[in-house]
Amino acid sequence: MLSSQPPPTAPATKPGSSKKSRNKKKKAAAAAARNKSSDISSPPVPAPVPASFDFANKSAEAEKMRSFFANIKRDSVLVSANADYVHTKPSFGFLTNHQLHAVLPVLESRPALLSDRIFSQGPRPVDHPFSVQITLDTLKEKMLASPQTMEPEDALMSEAEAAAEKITKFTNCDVLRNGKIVKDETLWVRGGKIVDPASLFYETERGPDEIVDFKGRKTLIVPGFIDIQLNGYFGYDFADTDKIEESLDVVSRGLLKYGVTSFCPTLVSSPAEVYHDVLPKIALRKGKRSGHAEVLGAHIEGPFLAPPKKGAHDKYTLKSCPNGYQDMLDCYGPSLEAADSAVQIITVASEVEGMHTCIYELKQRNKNIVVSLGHTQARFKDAEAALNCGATMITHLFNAMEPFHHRDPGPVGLIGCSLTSSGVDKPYYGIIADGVHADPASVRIAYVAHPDGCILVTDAIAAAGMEGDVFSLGTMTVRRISEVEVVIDGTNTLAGSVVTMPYCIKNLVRFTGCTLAQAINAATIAPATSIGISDRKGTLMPNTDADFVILDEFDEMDPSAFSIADVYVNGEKVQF
Amino acid sequence: MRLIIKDNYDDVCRYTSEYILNRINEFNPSPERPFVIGLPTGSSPLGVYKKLVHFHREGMLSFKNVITFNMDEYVHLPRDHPESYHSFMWENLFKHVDIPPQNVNILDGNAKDLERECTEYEAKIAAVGGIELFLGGIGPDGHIAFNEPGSSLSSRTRIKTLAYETIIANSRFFGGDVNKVPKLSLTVGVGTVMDAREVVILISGAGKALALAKCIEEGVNHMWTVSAIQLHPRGMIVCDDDATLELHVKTVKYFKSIEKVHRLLTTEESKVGMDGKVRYSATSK
Repeated sequence: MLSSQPPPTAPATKPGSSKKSRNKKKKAAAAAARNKSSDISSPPVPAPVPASFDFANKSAEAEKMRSFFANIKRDSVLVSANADYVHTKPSFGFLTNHQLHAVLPVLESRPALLSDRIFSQGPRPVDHPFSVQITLDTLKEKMLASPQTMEPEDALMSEAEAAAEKITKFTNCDVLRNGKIVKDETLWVRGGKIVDPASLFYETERGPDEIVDFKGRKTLIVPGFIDIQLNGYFGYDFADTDKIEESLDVVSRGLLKYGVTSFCPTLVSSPAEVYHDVLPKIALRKGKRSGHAEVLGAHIEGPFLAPPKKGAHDKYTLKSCPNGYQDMLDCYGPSLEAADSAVQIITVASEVEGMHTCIYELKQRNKNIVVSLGHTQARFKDAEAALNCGATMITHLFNAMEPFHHRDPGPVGLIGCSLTSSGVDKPYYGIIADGVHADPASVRIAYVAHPDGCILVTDAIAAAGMEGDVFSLGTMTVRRISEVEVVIDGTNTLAGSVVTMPYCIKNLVRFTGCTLAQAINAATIAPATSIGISDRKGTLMPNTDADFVILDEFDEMDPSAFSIADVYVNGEKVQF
Repeated sequence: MRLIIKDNYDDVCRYTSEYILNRINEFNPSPERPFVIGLPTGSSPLGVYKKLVHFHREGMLSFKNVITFNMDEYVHLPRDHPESYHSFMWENLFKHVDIPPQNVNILDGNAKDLERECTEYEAKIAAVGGIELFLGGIGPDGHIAFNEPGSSLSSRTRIKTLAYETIIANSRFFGGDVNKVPKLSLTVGVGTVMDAREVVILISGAGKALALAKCIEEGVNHMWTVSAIQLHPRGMIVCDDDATLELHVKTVKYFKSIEKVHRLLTTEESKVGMDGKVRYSATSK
């Protein structure tokens, strides 16, 4: 309430006129607040209280207001949050002049700061001689009425955008992030990606739209499993090139219930025409699709393999590459060199003629393609040389290769070689942990020698997930002789497997004594890093794909026990 | 000023967190009338935050209508740096509670115009009606927030150069390398803290004993900036036994005796609330 100081036009303290003058003061303050510049440029001139405020003429009013404030000897202004302070008992806050000069220019540009908040203390003396009231809600009303105060976020978003922007928070769970279990953690998902909640909190100032709370249940969220070697599943064989689209579709949907959210379709040794035909088709299908596991690039196993170690491959398709890289290009076709190539991993036998130069040149031309050693008779020195040429992985360690000999460890010895002798990192190695392809003791030895390099693969064939005994694998016929054992019909040669990834994970824990987290790492972060996609998969770090599996039903007695409760691909829950 | 002397750090945290819990619940914040609290960072308030999170999990405390203002932030340290105060507050408090993001205010050390950021911060505090309770810690040199010795006792939010001693003390969070520690910070001023309607300072450990003694037994002095609390109408210091090592025995006994009486008064049916306010109930005469 303005006191009866010098300006004769100042209204007396009559209820009626005081209210009017109060309103005028409010408008003036609003006008002042609207003005952008914060400093008082005009010299202090004893200005009378303006009789009326011309709202339209904002800058002039603001100028008057500013100079008026500048003249207030005591630097204090009362700010009332109450519209009507005569009939109700208001609370007042107290702003120093310094603060007011800070407040006014900012309030004008940030109307969201205004509120009807009432200060909590008792009322300050209302009749302070030099005090002026600004009613916040009137200010707010005026400011929000003008269109330019609309915040950009208030603009309407299309429904699709809104859905994509939906933020889901998973809380009260443990999260396996970047290879380590973080207890009592939260996971935030938006638009198919994991988001950093702190950035979300501070930048967009949005909380979660949906909260999934696992309170009371011991739950672990892990990245989706990545299978980099499987030849088929559910009766579909990827080598059956006529039905490749259908195979990929069925398999990528069916694998989700095993927690596998991305995989490399594997092709056994085939004639060149097959590769020319199928690789472009895989290139088309590569990538994400709603409700399906993501199809990563193909794992081409062959045909540059050692005939004595062909396993279940057709020996008539095997070849060598005396002309080096050119032979490889002729065999696989131009897809090999395409920008977003359908080829992710190539398994070769390093002792095949011309293979070393071939590997070297392949790696020079396409750093993303991973060269893996397998189906090989190479000795340790040869395998080491291949490693130096650019090979970085071993296909199903122990299988289809020379066994470990203490004086010549063969390819198996690569996981024991030291940096000083070879100059490159130890290779990753695939392990088919079904207990059949490698004895548990062998798996344990390999794991202990190089735990970070262990990649769990299923090497599953079409027979997996199916009932029955006789199936085809490429051009061969295979027969299931026990629950997990499949051999070439009429022989004892193992032909792929029929295991699931969760089974392999549990086995790794049982065989090696590692923790469940470490075993899951062998199915997530290790394969992701080996094929160079750890920036978007396998870690659950911010900005990676929101492919994850929710595990529960753990058992204190049995560290390998778990059950898959839910699977999310690209942030969407999968129904299965 | 109240000086609450507890036995150890854990008791200090328990008392402070229960005090804050009761203050917020007695205030009964609503969207129109939120509880505005000022928050510190560092090792002292960690225990308090843990207990507040615990209260929230038990359903005893909601942060929906609580607005927070932090004391300080480093300049030119990326916001998602693990040692930034944004990260600290997220990890230790905001992540676990239901505070709406728009209620959180922390100075932005990467703002284009740092001075404007400081004035805007003051404006925001004023816009929400001022701070109801400012929680703080104290440095071994008696500073509050980053108001190093020599800071004006009427200072407002501003850019501040860090004292070399502070940089050395903070280097433990930056891998022991003093060159990695930011040299500038934005901090609320002593005046800003003392403008709050209540100030609660946590002081624990023998390293703070001298600072505590200088701040409460000697005069108001810009060399020990927390001493400005002597002029605050509702100041409270919660400290543990170790922090009283430099105080006169008389001071310690005096405050302990006051608190003993206060404890007798503050029961469920009592007329005196935790904050010392006298309550008037309908049935009282």
